[in-house]
Amino acid sequence: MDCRTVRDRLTRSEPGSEVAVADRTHLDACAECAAFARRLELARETLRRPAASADAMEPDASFALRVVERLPKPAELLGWAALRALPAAVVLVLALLWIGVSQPPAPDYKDLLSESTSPDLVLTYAALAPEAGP
Amino acid sequence: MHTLARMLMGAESIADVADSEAGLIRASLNGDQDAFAALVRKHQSRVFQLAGRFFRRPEEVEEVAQETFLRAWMKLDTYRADAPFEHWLTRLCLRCAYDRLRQRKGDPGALEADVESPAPDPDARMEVAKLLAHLSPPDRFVLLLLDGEGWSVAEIAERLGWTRVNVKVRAHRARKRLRRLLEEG
Repeated sequence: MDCRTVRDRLTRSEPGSEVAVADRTHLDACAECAAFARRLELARETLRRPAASADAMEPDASFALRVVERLPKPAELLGWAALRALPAAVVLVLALLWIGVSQPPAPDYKDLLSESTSPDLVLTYAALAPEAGP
Repeated sequence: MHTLARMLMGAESIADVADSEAGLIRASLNGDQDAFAALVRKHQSRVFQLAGRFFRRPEEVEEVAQETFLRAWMKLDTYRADAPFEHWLTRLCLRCAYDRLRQRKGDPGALEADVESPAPDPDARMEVAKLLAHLSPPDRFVLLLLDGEGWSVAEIAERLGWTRVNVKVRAHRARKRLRRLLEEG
């Protein structure tokens, strides 16, 4: 059995599982693979241990209060909601501005007195300013 | 008879716990911060234990635990009661830990803790700990869950919301890199 296969099997094996007889025989004969197996076991042992000390893994009595202090306040949530609605508000304002700018100007009342006034212009004026006029 | 009574009492108390937890969740959803504080107190030990697996510095453990509960508060409406609340919280905690590990690339902080603890061969342990510090945060994360927590691929997938294929691929890559590191070391 070659070193590559044995190391591959060792790396993929479940931690703490029995080493197969064939692999054990290889490890007894190959010093490099035996050293690899020891390092792998040490690495797994290190991984099994918590990174933090036991003290750091226990919350103190005021932990919950510290969490509650950091919860977003209703005002902050309103602020977030406003911020999220901002793009829609900008689009609405721009659309209204565009409608206002693109609207044709209201005809001047004096234009209606001319002889060449078209019936369309009279109707437009009547629609835009029904209360005005002669 | 005595055993049966105890069993019934046990079942009742479990139901009570579930009921009270559901009540706390409902109240928290309505904005009751006191109810949420009670939920935090109920689950804070488990969250600290989990965060402590990944981070050595106490302030980082605290920060991850706080972040977990803050996310829980913000996302509480996404919790579905068909799974235990603790599982949902575990998933949030793991994701917080994962995000934090990814943020601090190049800072081998998490796994240097145990080099001072008594060991048959302290030099070898220190050497291995230094090698592990060269693993990328995602690799360390997966190996911690597999070899540290002893979780199966299915358990990791379920608790993190990843697919099994995703976990298998990540585990394969992480083990390959670990093997290379140990061979080079």
